[in-house]
Amino acid sequence: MRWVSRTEAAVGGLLLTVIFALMLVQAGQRYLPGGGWVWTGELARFGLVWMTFAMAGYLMGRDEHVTLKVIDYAPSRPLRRTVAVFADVMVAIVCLNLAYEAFGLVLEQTSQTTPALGLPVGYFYVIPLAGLLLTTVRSVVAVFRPRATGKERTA
Amino acid sequence: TAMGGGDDDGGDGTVTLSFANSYTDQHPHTRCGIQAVAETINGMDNGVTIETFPNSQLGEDAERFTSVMSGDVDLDVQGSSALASTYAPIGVLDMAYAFEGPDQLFEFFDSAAADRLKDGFARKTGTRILDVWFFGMRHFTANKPIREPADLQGLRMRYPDSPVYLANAKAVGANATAVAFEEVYVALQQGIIDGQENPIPTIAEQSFDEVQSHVSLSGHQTGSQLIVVNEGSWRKLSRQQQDALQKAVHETRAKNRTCIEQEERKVLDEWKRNGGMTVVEDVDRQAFARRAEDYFTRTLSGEQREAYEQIRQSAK
Amino acid sequence: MSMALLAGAIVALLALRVPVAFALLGPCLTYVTMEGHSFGLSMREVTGAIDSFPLLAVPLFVLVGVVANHAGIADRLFDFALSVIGRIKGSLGYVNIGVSLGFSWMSGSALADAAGLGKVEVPAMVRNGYSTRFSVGVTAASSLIGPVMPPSIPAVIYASIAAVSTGALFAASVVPAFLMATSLAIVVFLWARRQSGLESQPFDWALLRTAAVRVAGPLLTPVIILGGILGGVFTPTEAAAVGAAYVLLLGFAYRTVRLRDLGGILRDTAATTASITLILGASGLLAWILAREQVPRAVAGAMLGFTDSQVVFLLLVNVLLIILGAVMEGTSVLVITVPILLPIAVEFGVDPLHFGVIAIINLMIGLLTPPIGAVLYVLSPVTGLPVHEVFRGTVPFLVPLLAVLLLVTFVPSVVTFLPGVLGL
Ligand code: NA
Ligand code: NA
Repeated sequence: MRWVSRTEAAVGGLLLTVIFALMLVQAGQRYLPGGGWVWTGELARFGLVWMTFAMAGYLMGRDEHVTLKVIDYAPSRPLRRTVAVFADVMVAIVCLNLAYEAFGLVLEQTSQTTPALGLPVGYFYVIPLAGLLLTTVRSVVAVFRPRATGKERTA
Repeated sequence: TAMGGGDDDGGDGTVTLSFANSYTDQHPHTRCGIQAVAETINGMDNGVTIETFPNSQLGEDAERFTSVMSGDVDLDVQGSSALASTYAPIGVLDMAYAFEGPDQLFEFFDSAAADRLKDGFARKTGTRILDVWFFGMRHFTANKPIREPADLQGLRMRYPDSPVYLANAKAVGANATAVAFEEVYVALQQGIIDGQENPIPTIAEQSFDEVQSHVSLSGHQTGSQLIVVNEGSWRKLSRQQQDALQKAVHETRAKNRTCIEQEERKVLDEWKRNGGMTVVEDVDRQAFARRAEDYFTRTLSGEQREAYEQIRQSAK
Repeated sequence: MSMALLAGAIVALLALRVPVAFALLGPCLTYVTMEGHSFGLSMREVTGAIDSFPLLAVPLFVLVGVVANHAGIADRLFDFALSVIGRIKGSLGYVNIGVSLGFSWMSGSALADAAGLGKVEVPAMVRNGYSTRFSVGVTAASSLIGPVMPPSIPAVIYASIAAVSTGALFAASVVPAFLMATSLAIVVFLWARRQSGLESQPFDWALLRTAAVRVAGPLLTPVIILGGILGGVFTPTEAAAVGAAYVLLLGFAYRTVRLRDLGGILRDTAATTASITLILGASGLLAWILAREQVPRAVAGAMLGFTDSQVVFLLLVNVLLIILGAVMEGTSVLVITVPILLPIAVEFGVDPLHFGVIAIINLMIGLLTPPIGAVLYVLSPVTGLPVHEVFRGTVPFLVPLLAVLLLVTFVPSVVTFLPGVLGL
């Protein structure tokens, strides 16, 4: 699992770098002659979507998704464990369902392409599909191998 | 074909249709647009009920059109430049100086030549174009008059972020900068961009007159919006229901145009009266139009070129 | 499937420790299937909610905050603030607020602030005779300045949903953020007056000069970010990118960020961003369902039938958002409630910028209140205090924050003044 997390983090970091670089280029472009590129904005937006799903499994593996953890303060250890298993099973079910949808969208025969890059729409869902499957794997693993409680992240 | 669409099939001949757009409650395309159609149909008691969803409630343009294709939204109002990413030839309707105004737009749209475009679109998307509504002529605003192509030199003009619009910019000789619609006001004010282009009602609604001194009546694009319906939702309707809906959308077209033109006149009169904006009427539209036609005949190919030439033919 | 059942299922899953994004998604997926919507709709709406140009500022502002934390800028701000007001009684309390204020120009989230500054400030205060509870309380409360003062991640999210200018909303938030800082300082003043033996540091010009030089670089960040946006040099997203590049350069210059740290910085930023954007996507699907069920229209009808007074409406909104902010995560509350409440607010004559600032302050106060109270959960391990003790420390600071909220609610000019002056 460790190399999976490393790969996810590497892909997430790479996509972040792409967004960062594209926006720097766009800021600079404003002060250069010639028209802007349309595809920079589109690729950066897609990068944000892909980064979200690329990191979903990483966060799940470390219990770092934003979660209401009041139950962790319950005194009964078996209760805590039961709830944790329930939550992991729920996440697995949700992710599997969404992954199935993403799979359908990847395979769907549609003529739609993205406006600027001309990317067939199905390709857009490849990274989300992979991310959701890896999140499913993480939640199933967590049912059998409890993790340490992760830190809080939110806006 | 429709894969979904919610529990709107009453099973007893009653159907509920969702009708969405991206415009505010006050915009003519809502007031004298989707709401007008809904009122007409809902007042008929013919088993069809229309629920309206203005203001991008059901998603942004591209997202909503995908939902129309899948049947999750039944009816929608879409610009042809946005639809062009699914069926390229339809984008021609939004090209600079393709049409000379709403009369020609409507005339072409009702002609046999347009049927080919509509059929091709229906085959490719599984959605049907019911009609076209007039969105207003698009004009340039800037802090100086734009009377001829040379006046665009050195100006950063904001255009919507889509290939058809960027082609339009090149066609008239503008230097296009993409800025999100919500940021245009601030970007104009702070000089990130020097000008933009939109129909008069939008310029007024967005208060661009506060940050721009001149509106030049270039009319470089006959703004239009297509009314699209999911084919599966359409087939759920009986023949009479289809006719009623088609008729309501078509009759709204005329009223909607009046609505837009009244709004246009009202705003222009106000600007002329209070000096809110200098209205430049002596724009050399011929010079712009020649340039655009020259550009498009050079760059367009295949089905797009065919459609473009048919439209240009209808003007002559 | 009824909306009550949908809401009930979400609340139950949240309570049972299902991560917020998945607790929202589960019932929504069930709804979409049961109502016969198309296969693929859920996935498209989830991704569609994230796929937005204004939201690109989110990862970049998170990056600014992560790098600023990593580069040790908090220490520099701390030394500087102490060298200025060190001799005043209760100085470390004011310094705590001042550091949060300085850091708020570089950070868009409360948690980055609380986690980063808590480690420095709480031990320093305790060493100097402040009670742990008070120290944690002032740290928690002052961390809320971060997401209100621009750059602000909640503001970026609100602007993208409400289709208002991010720059204008940033300008609107500046005065309320200063008011929050001032109101917290008043609590410190009242508290310190009754204490004895809060050691203060003598004033020293040499120290001040050194500290000022060390803080000059970081304090240029708001000039680049906010100045860049309001001065018309960049759009907010571009300013975020340029700001991140600048803070990175600072880190390299101070040798607190090294090339080998970059991997970790990128990973942390991507992870924090994803935890926010996944919730955004899930909330987007829920917002679509609510719109499809005509919930906004029903709520508007009920609200307009109940009262025609702007004051009563805004009070109701405050109560509603405080409660939601306490039991839900802020991003999801924004995505779900703004499409419903904003049109009603406009009907009542409330300015969308004004409404945005009210909503953001409300939801940020929720970060201090159990059961969600994310700031409490961040500070608990940092300080070794149990969560309920952290909360007891923050209670006295809820009073001034609520006072600022009421002021901002009923004196719109507090919000609209600066955008007005700047002509936004
Ligand atoms: Na602080
Ligand atoms: Na901030």
